[in-house]
Amino acid sequence: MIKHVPVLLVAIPLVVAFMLPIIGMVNRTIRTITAGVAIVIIMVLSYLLIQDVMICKKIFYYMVGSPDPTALFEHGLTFPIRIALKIDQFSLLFIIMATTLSFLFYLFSSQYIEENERKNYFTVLYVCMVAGMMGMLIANDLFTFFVFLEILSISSSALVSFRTERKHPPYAGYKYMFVSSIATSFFLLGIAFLYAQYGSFNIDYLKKVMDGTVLDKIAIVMLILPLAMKCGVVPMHMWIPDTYSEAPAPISSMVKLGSLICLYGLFRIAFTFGSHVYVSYELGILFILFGVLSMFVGVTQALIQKDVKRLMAFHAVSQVGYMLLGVGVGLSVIKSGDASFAIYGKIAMIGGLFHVINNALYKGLLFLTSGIMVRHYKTRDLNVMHGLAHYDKFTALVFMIAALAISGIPPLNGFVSKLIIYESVFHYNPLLTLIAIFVSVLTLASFMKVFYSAFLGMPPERKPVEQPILVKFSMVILSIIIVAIGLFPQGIIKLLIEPAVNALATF
Amino acid sequence: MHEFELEYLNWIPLLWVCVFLIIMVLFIIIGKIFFRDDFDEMSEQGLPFYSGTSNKMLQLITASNLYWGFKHTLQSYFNSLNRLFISNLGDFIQWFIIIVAIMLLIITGALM
Repeated sequence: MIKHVPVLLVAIPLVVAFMLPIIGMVNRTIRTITAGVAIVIIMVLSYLLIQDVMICKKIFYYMVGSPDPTALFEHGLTFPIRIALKIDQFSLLFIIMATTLSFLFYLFSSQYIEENERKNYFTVLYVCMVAGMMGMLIANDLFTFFVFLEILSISSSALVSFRTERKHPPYAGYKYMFVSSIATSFFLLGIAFLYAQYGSFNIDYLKKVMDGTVLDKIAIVMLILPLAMKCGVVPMHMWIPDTYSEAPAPISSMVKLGSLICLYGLFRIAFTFGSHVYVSYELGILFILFGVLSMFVGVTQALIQKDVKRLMAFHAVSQVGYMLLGVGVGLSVIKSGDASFAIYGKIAMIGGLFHVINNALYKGLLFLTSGIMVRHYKTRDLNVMHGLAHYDKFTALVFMIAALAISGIPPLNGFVSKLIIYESVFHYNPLLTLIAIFVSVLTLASFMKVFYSAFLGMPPERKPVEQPILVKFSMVILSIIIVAIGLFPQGIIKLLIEPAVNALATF
Repeated sequence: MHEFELEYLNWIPLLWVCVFLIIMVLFIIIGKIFFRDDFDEMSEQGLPFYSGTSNKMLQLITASNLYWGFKHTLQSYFNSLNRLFISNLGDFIQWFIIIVAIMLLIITGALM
């Protein structure tokens, strides 16, 4: 059974997504439960792999359509064009993150999005989005990766357009679709360059045969930049505030999660192909530059926003900078030939990947709390908000936990990953650490502004509506995970992060 | 492969929790000693005091008022950012093409 898990992770959400409209016509409650159960099943399946993949270091291969799907790779790529799937330590880390958070965001949205005839579309697209993420994470050939990237992009842009409080989402969804289509077109061009030379889409095979031609290097740029654009790296970031701010709150969290899945693709391609054709140093330096630029521009832009969701969206840009900085330092020294990678490069990568997980948690929680604020005040304007904490202490508390975590305040999870990044990057260049700490201070300043504006001051004119139980439950679980990781980071680093970094570094 | 040393991470969270609890206890003790016994939060004493205006909305310092010095000092930086990223769809193409060109020059070694 467990050998079929790779294909089940994609097949279950895809099949359920096609069944949901029919189930929704019969009974809406059963439809909502079915979608939730599908996400729970893939979440449990991903947890079942921890023992084999993370502890026993086993790698799962799967060739869809082959008589013996798990053995084909060992026989030497008899059929080079097949849907090739692979789960290793690096992909499993992101699979666990994606399934767990998709489930928690789904719990939130199941009661946050009001029940009407359009919720059928919402549920179907949400499950398609999960399928897109899973497909990207386990794809071992570039074309399959591209197909699932498209599934993720199309379902995301449709969900961004999902109307809730305001009338602008269709424009935001159109903008997101436009950006995604530019990105995926260039990505397809990169795939074409490689296929034209080597006649295969398989990532492992391409790694073996690539010989560092100019066309290889052009292909790497064409593969990496679209993913960087989808992550919101400065200067290709302006779609992020426009899109995140207009989408419904749980969808902002999901689109952010989708961006982190694109970051997975970015890292995987950079390490697999970049190291192989001897451009890892150049790519590492570019990652560091993009990281610093994203951190600084993102946080300074966030500080002056008065729209709560745009402010949070600019912070999403800023936080991607930390991840690029950590992993970029590791990438730039991985082929240096001295002890740099062992001394600080690997630690920086651990910090970068740990920050991906932490960021997904607290950023998701922040977007969820912003949804409650916006729903209460009927506006995103911080100038109009005041005093919500007088009536809604629960939202104030969870917002404070997430805000302190993103600002890197101990003892929360953001502090731990930032500390690892600061300490390791300091060996590479102390100036980078100073910039990172300065950005963290500005992050705290801007979230103090949000807390002061939305939660303190005079009580609001009317009392907020009591939040449904699943909305509260999902936020409580996220808060508990944030605090628990902050207090006991060693376990998750040893079990999940370090094996993932080893797998990434030795691709 | 070098083993990740947890000692490298100088982070003892339980110590921080203990420090936090000690500060809380000290705060409560100091409060009991020095704070007035006749303070009643539910009476007028608990209301905030605003000077200068009786208009409740004007008594609020809004989000736009915060960090005005920072914004004022960096006005030229923000103006140039606004000019560079006006968020038109054409902007995305423009920046994407520029970055593709720069990256191609660096990665293919054309600048060497």
